Amino acid sequence: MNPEKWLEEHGDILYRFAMQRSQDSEVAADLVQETLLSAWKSKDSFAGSSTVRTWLIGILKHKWIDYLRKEIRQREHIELADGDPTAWFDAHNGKWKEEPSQWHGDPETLCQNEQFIQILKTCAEHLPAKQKLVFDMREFQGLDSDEICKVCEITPTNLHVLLHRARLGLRHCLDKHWFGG
Amino acid sequence: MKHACEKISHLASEKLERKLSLRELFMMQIHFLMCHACRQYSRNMLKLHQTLQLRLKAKDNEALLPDEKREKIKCVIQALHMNRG
Repeated sequence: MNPEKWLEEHGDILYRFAMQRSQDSEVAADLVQETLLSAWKSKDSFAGSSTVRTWLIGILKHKWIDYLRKEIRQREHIELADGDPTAWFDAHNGKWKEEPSQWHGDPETLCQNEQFIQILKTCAEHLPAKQKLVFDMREFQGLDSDEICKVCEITPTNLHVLLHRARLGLRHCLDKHWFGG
Repeated sequence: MKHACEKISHLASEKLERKLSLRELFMMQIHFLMCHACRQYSRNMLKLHQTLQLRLKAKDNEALLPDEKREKIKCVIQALHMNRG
């Protein structure tokens, strides 16, 4: 049980995990440090039933959720019901006002196209705040629905509505600026 | 049906979040037969999701803890050790 050894052996893995979520090297390194310190403080609670790495990643996950909660609290309270999804549809016949266009390119190519990712991020920037936040967590940080609901303190139904609205907004923006609808 | 496409596009999004019931899947498929726009939308959203999943996986193997940050953390740990004697 030695935090210096943990840093040596698991530092990169922990950092990668934190980077993937925060996309910010300062925040990620801080999270690694906090994780190691808090692991050292609670080393007696390490049951030995899991590997040290799993145990450390578990602590890091909690640190990340704490960090997100703080971030959310720091922002103004954001209205849940922003953005009206029915605006994309004709009120009379219930059909799309503008048909979604066909998106060319397969995921394997698109994911390596930095220009596409930039346009996507710019589109996401223009979403209403809460939609942007949950879409970010879900698709850019790779959290699953349960984790996001816990962090944002919302129900799965609320989350699904927010993601649905975010996706409607993004498809419009991407049709316009990337796929040339 | 009023708001039909809105409902189906909502289901298309939820399909990426949870397992849909057989009834929901059936409803979607029937709607897709009549509605090219929703079929297209559903495909696009799946593609977007898969693209970002692949990107996350690729990023997984990249980042390394930079040396100067590693050194800083080491210092903090050593300081902590000294304080505890």
